[in-house]
Amino acid sequence: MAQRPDRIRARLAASLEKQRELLDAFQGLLKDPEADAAAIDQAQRQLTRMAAEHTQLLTEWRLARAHVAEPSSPYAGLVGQRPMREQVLDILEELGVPASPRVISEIAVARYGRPLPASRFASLRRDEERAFRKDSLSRPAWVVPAITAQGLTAIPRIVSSSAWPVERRLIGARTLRANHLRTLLALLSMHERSQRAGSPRATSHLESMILGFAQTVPGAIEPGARPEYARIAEAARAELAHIEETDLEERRTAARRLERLPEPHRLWGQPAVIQGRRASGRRLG
Amino acid sequence: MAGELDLVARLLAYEGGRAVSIATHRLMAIRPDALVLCPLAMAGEDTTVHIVAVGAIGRPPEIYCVADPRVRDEQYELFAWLGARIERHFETCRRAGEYPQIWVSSGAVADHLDTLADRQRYNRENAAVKRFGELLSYQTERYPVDGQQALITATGALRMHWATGQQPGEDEHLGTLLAWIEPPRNTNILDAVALAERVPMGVKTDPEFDRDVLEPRVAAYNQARRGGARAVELRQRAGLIQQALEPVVRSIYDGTQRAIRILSRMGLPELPALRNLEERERDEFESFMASRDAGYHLPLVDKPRPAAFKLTAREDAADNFEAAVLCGDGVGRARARLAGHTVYGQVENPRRTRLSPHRFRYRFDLVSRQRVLRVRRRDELASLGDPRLRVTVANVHREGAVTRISAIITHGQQAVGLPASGTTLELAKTVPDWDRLIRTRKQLRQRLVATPWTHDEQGTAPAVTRARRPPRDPLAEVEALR
Amino acid sequence: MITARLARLRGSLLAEEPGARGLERVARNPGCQRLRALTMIGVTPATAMKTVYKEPDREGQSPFALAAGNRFERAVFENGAARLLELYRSAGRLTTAECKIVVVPELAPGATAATMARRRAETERLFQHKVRRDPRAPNIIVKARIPVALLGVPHDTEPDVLVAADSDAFYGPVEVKSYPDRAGKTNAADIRSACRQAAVAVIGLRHAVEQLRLGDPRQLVPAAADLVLRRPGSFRPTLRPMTLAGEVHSLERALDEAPRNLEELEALIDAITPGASLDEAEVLDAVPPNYVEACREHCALAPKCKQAAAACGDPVLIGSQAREELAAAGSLGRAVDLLRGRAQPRTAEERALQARLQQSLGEYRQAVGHGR
Repeated sequence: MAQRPDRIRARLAASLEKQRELLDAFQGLLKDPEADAAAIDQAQRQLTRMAAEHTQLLTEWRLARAHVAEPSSPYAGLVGQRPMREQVLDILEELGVPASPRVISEIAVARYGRPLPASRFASLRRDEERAFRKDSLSRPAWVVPAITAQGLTAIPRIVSSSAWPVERRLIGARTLRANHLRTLLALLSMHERSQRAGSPRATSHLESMILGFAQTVPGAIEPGARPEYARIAEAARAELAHIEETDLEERRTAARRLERLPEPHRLWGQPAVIQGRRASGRRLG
Repeated sequence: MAGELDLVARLLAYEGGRAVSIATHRLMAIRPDALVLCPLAMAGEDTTVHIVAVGAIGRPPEIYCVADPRVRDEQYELFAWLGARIERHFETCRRAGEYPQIWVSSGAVADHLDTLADRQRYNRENAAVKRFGELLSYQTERYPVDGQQALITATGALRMHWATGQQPGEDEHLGTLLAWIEPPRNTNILDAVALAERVPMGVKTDPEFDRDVLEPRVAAYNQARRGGARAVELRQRAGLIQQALEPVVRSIYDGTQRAIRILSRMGLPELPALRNLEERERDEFESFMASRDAGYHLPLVDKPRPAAFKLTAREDAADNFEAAVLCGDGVGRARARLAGHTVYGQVENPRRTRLSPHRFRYRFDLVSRQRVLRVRRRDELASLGDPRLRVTVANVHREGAVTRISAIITHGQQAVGLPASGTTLELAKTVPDWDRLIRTRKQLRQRLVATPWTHDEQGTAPAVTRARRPPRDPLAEVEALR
Repeated sequence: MITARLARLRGSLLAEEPGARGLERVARNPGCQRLRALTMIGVTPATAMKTVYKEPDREGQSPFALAAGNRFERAVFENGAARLLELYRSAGRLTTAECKIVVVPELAPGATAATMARRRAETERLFQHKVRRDPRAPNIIVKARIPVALLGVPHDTEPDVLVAADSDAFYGPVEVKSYPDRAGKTNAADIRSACRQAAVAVIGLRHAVEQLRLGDPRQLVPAAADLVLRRPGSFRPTLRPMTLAGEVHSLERALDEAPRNLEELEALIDAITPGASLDEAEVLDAVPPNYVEACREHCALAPKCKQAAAACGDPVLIGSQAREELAAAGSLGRAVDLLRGRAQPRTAEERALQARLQQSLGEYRQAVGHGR
């Protein structure tokens, strides 16, 4: 984002100072008959790098001075917005299944007109867990990681809601695929609502997401033809019908095991344990 | 694989610290109206052009740069601009009854243009870009054909005329090749080459340059673009990107121009067969453009029948070009002599034998002292001095360092006549035959009326019919299929 | 303890995982002891160039290429590896029901030693499931972690993907590369590199099968793999099944060259200087390299080794063929002396070489018509 002119000037001054130091060092090397060719080469490369950075900063400064680039704060546009956790929970409710930060962020574009920075999900997860451990009753629902059906450990890259039934937060062998199909069906519903509400920007964005998801569903899209949403939904449901029962059975079995664990582990997953020693009878490492 | 002559040439270059000439004739045309084309792609994006420099021989370049070639609309603008430039060149050549020639710096650029052409000629979104891809396909389809004159790489052209004292793979860097050919004064050649190697001369920029200079500028541009920055800011940021890339592409452009100057300044006579090669190029170009005018589609993958024709044409071109260099270039001939691909010796025992009242057989022996000879009975050879004289080898007899080849004249008995005893003669298996392709294509048309079962969609093998008895002379039966 | 011995040989250099790329690099140049030594102790040539020789590493990838590669990988693996699954379904290799996917790093996120141990354990568990024909055995495993003992030293490899239909006896490796797939025009060097890395995965899987006593390694893991490449100008993947008999065989032979194990490497270093380590330039210089033309393509040490070749006039400076042709002379200087008649041949081979070179020189002079 664009910065204020005075900050850029300060960086320019620092860059110039650094270049001066490098030039002095470079001069020293050139005068020294014992100087290593590699060291001279390295110094030259650093100077080139600094010069490029300097040119870039100069342009930024000129733009900032001419008020061409509007300065913005990292939080511009977020003033008045609901907290990120609330937005994430809302989107999860619409989806109905655990999802990756990337998918949630893309849906946020359709819903709120701006993405949720995927890089902030890691800190959100940590903040949620910290707040939960401080006072588990302070909120009705938490943004929690999905949990593996096999080891009952957390999958930090997939996000779910603590308000859901346990089995819905679990990821079994077929769940990734099943959830892909369920996400597609959820996107189709959102698309329908968006069309009814007359939101062309959101509709267009959702269409693009639907196409991306539907491309990997057999029979969903006819090559070369315009996408038909009813056909996509039918294809998704047909594939889901093949796998959802087996998937649900595995998750329910895992849910029964998960429910026997203490509450923090039920929400955040149990700590990882290396089970190799007894299972294989072989020493590790 | 390069032979002993090329090895000695590299040794001489290494010894002298500069490249040595390995041709007595210029082996490709340098068309005065040729275009020099130097694109730079964004690393990892195989169908992009970030900046391009294009111009005529001896002229400064026109430059077109886009801020981020991954932004489709911007990239299409560049392609459309370049396509228009190429179209003008093609039209000029066509009106003059000539063919368009494009020079690029190295094989990497030619490969990149091939990827671009393959992709863009099927573009359904933008007609101008599609046209660009189609026109570029002329050059890229011709490139793999030996002796073609449409798309010339500076490295390839220089390597045909110069041997350096470095590895053949290193010759693909135009900068190092130029350093060997015109070494800077008072600098050790290996140091000069090490320095030259660092300057990009292909189709990509240096990764360090990308990291330190280009990527931050492109990222800043994209951030501004996504943030809805005003046009004036975007122009300034795009200008920064061009400012970084332009020196790189100009350096490659200048290097390519320098290669052309070096080749021109060598003052070598043209290979005699060059006029035939250029004639063929004109025919190919006219045929290509006629197909475009008629709306014929350029396939990505050929069906069996057209593939058979194309393969035959390529084989014919390879044979003809090899023969042309062997016959027409002094070093080419020396190479062939050393490798035993030509027979060189003194004529002994020429004689005429009467077979019937009006039929004679003309024979002679050729005595050679070549260390390596690749000649067998029944080989058909032609005289390099006068290709009308053709012989069949009746016998080969080696005694110590001397090989005696008995030859029977099959053509040129009257036109050239029996060579006199003591004459020096040089015979080769192949001489250029510029009409062979017409004959071969006619033969193919007859033989491929029906697609062979091995390549048709049904793929049903025919029923096996066994011959009643085996042929007396299987070799003759096979030879009869020629 | 192997770890301690490796650490001693590394000196101040930090351990890096060579990975499939590092191991296939060794196979490209099996005669290069320098490369083998570095790979065994877990140091890349790029690190050696930067840290030991204090020279810039020019091998690094452009951030644009890295970003494109990452985007392609993301496109292949996102949403439960949906695109990868679709690829295998379209090819008829997996049915609709065969959609069990496990992403091993998701089971054990992080980069600590404990996490890596967990990943190895999870991978073992999945392999056991498969061999026992457990219906829970996944069809696609992303980034399994397989311990292998190569060059006498334990390493971990992480094949991009392992794939198996329910009816398959075991998994086969898949290499995912962002190289553009241009069918017959695909860059041959890219394919070779990908196939060699896949061969590393085959060997790794065979070792795992053997270690875990799951069955006959060669029967369960044939010398074959899939390459997933990129459609040019897009992020859509393509699938190319490849047979790798040659690559696997050449990798096995290459890995069998000396130094074959840690003992041999320690003996080699001790012979240079007792107790030395490879973080010293003089010690690394003394480990014999084998500079060949292909080194430039894959090894950051190539400029250094080229300098050494130039210092002794190694004929490889003018091409690999020259090294063979001029073997009798041994160096470029000697070859030139023989050519010019400044040196008397010392052996029958040198005499024959001199005769050939001088004959070629004669022909060359006659052809170009001047007194070179």
